[in-house]
Amino acid sequence: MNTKDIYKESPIVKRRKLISFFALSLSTAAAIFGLFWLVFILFDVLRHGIQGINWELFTEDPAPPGIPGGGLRNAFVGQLEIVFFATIMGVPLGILAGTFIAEYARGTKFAKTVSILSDIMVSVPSIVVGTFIYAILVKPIGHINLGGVVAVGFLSAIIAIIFGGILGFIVNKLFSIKNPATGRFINLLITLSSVLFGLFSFLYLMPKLVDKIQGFNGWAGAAALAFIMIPVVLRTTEDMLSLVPWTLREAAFALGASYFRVIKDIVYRAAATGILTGVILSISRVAGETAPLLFTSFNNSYFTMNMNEPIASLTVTIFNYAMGPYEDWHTKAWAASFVITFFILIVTILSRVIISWKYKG
Amino acid sequence: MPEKEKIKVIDLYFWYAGSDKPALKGINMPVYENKVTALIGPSGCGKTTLLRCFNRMHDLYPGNRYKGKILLDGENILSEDYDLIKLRTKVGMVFQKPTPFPMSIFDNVAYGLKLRGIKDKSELEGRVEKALKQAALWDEVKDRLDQPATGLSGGQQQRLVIARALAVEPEVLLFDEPTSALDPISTSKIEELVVELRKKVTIIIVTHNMQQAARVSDYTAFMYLGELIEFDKTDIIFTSPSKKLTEDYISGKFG
Repeated sequence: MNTKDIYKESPIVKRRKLISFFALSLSTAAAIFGLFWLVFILFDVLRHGIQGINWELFTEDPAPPGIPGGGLRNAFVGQLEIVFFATIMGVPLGILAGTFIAEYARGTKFAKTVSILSDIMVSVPSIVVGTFIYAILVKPIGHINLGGVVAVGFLSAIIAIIFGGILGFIVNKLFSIKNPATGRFINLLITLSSVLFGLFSFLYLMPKLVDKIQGFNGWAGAAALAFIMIPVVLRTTEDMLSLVPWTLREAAFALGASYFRVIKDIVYRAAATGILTGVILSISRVAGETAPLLFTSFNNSYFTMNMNEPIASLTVTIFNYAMGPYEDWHTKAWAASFVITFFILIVTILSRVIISWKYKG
Repeated sequence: MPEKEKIKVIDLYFWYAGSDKPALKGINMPVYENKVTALIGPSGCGKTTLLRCFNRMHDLYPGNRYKGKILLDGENILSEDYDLIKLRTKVGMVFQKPTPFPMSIFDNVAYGLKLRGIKDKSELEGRVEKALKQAALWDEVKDRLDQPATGLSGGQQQRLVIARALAVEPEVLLFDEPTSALDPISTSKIEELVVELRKKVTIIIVTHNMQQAARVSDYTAFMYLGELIEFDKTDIIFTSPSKKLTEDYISGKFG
């Protein structure tokens, strides 16, 4: 008997092989079980959805209830508009906040707290976000139009940030401040003046703009989606920036780059594909959300591009149509489901392609 | 001919953040212009710590403290008012591992120039070519300047990084064990480069490799446990050191 035979015969080895085979079979079965339902759902969406796909679906607005025909142009356009504005609001905020956490505030308690909080925010049920936005942006309290106030406040805050940035830039160009204490003092002055500027623009804009936004509106829908995107983008950005080796930053600092240039030219470039993937995934995440839109952008059977009004979205339309009594509605809900699934599929594949580019060099 | 002191370190102490024990204890040494000064010593002796004081790399990490003075052309670079960007323009650095930026070969070398506001394309091209020639890399990369720098070999990347540092015409160049990640052929290329470059810049090099220090440097500083034990001309340090400790280290009795 040579060693190979002993190995084969040994009861311990036999038992181990059996256990290994058993574990392998279990996990394979579990994987097949999961995959089966996934394929089943996708196939069902495809099977039902493809029947409702036609040119009119994209070019015509809904016919009156019960009358067959018409399309969902209003919902497609509304969905694109809401997701577009959500991206505009959520992505820059998420990237900037992620940069702050991973770079400027790196290692501080504050950074860790924000990071943990956004992890929690990622897993908050989206209907809670919808209710929250409803409470602050949609629902009037007594005679106060809170949504209008918040919107004007948001606008004033952006004006103040831009004002402060420009002021800081000008001061930096005119005087070169070397003493760190003087620098901090001037920084404080600039911050205070931009806060004052923001307050004044708030008071000035309030009476002019406050009543433009009232009740259900597209902005509230976009804000709710943005709210879901921010923590996703923030955490991906933070993770991706932390992966960039410190030696790379040091090399840029050693050439005399300021921290801003180091981040902009080196760190962002090194982490670009990762951040882009995070952005794309956050878009696909919100593109399928219904709950946050139910109480914010609501729905609209008519075509509109005005974000100050209630606006139709694919997901809410699917919800309404699937619950509705008409056969034609059901077909349209399937078709819309198909389109939205297809969109998310394409976006996900796109992000995979971008990742694989990175590893090719 | 008396040599000109480019840098003078006076009674320098340095503490890392959160540590009461100084990592550098009362260092006093000159660095002569257009010479190569090697810092040698066993691991943990503070040679890299000292090197990173010359461009204040330690300032990137909050809590690090300096005491004492480092005079660069008579000006104390450790003073609060000394502009770090100006300092790092004058004092370039090459790291242990090659650090090419995620951009093309050309853009890597041009990066420091762009930071200084040079936008003119023909001037950039001229300076990039000059720097790559100085770093003995031009012939290998001239046909693929637009390709990513990460595609180069380790030795080429390190010479690219040297070219990047040279492009902005620094007065002092710091090398932190520049060949420890490279093969022997790349190492000898970098060493030749260091010897050649001292005609234009003052060089300080940290090395683990005593033969390397002997080959490339004019002056050598031997450090041990955060102190400067001996500083002298390289041939004196390697043939007749005045301190017992230096002799023991050079002859390989410890280290």
